[in-house]
Amino acid sequence: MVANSDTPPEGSAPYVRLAPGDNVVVLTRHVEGAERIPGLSGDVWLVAAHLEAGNKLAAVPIAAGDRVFKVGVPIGTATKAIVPGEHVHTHNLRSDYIPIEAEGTHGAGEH
Amino acid sequence: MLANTEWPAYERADGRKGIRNVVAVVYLVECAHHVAREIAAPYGEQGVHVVGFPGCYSNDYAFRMLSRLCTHPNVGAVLLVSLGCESFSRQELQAVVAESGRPVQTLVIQDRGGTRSTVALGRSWVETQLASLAAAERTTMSIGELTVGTICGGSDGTSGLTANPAVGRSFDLLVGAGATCVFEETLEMVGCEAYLAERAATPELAGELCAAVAKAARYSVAMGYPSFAAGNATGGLTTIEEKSLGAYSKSGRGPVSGLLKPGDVPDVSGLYLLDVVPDGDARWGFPNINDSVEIAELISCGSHVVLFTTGRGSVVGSAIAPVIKVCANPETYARLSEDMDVDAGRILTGGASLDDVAEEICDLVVEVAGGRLSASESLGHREFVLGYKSFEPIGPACHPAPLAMARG
Repeated sequence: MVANSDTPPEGSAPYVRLAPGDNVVVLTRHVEGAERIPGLSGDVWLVAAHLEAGNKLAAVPIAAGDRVFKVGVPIGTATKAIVPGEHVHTHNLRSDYIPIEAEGTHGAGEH
Repeated sequence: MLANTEWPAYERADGRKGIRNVVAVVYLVECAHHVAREIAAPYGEQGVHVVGFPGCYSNDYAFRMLSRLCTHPNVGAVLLVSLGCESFSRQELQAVVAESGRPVQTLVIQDRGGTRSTVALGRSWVETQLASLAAAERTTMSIGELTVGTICGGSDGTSGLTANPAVGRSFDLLVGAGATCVFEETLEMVGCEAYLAERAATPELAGELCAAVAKAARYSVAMGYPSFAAGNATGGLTTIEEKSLGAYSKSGRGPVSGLLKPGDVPDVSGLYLLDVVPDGDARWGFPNINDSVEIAELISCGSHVVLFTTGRGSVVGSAIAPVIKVCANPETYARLSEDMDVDAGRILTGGASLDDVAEEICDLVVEVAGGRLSASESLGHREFVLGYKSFEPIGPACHPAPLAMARG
């Protein structure tokens, strides 16, 4: 999902970090499958899947069991280790309130 | 200046003012729905709207909802269409509407010779009402007399970044100018209860808000699903608390004045949370099977107009009150612009700030209140859904505002 490259991709980063302490960023436009985008610390993130605007990528390394923060607010707990630039969604993030078991929602953003 | 804006409106006998002059054709059981629809069909462009209740067994919530909707300030006249053998009390509903000073007529299909003759009688009555409503004098109305609801539907990861906080800021402006604003919904406040409680007007209200959200969480668990659809996940939302975070931002930043249940019309201006989750054991299935149920509930609390934020792109409108679409996602706006009123996605692409969009929303609310048709209204969307629920009356802690005024 993530690779480094010597050639930085052109254009500005297509995401925002909504609060300084957030460990995820949010896409401000869709990204094509296998698109290379600028990372947060001068690296390059390769986003493997087609993702629509509003999807989240890890901003920093996230360990399994870590709380995930967006706008400074916890939105769930990581179920596995996530590397910077990796898609953060139902396959690696779980609600601390009510798990979503609805058919069709599992990894729907990966399609 | 927002506080001083005025527009022409319709004054009702109870002193409330409406921004539309709707003739409501109301079916009292699904068996009367077709006849009601046929009565209204030729007059869709003239403000004749169909609402009703499909159930054959009576339900206090449904009665209260239809009572409030038939006496909503946007409604000028009411035609009740009954099959004849359903349990809904048409006499009581007719009495409620008559007491409000509105023209009301009941047609019982089983007593009127069937479908064709009831449709003919209904159309004749509607035409009489349209003529007299058109001749009615107009009054003026201002922000202090306006109630605005908000709902989000088809949310995605952009909803909480653009449209929802922009609506929240427009709520700050509207409430500041004296309006009443109502946001929903407790099912999508799960995870936000602590933030919500901090904004409550009194500690007692804070307790009620937390209890309402806890009830919503229990209900979701009983149903096996939170308020979360497949499209939410495709749009990048992962958990209910993440979706809630976005939904919550529709409420703006001001103090929360009270908690409403469907059909509660606030006495005092301010910001209110609408509790849409039935009380007691989980019965009758999902609290809200779709957005239209909730829009009807916002309108039952007196909303003259509803701000509907959407990321994925909902196209629905509503009977009784205009729905204004605020589109969160710039790519969705590009695809569905004919159904959208406000392009809040410009916030993501750098074309506007949250405050710019909030001001645009306020301006549009005033224009639509003054008679401009919203996109969904001009496209003929008049959705309406009402099902079974049960509620206990709200307690005094839910409405601290009148007490606060008495003290002050």
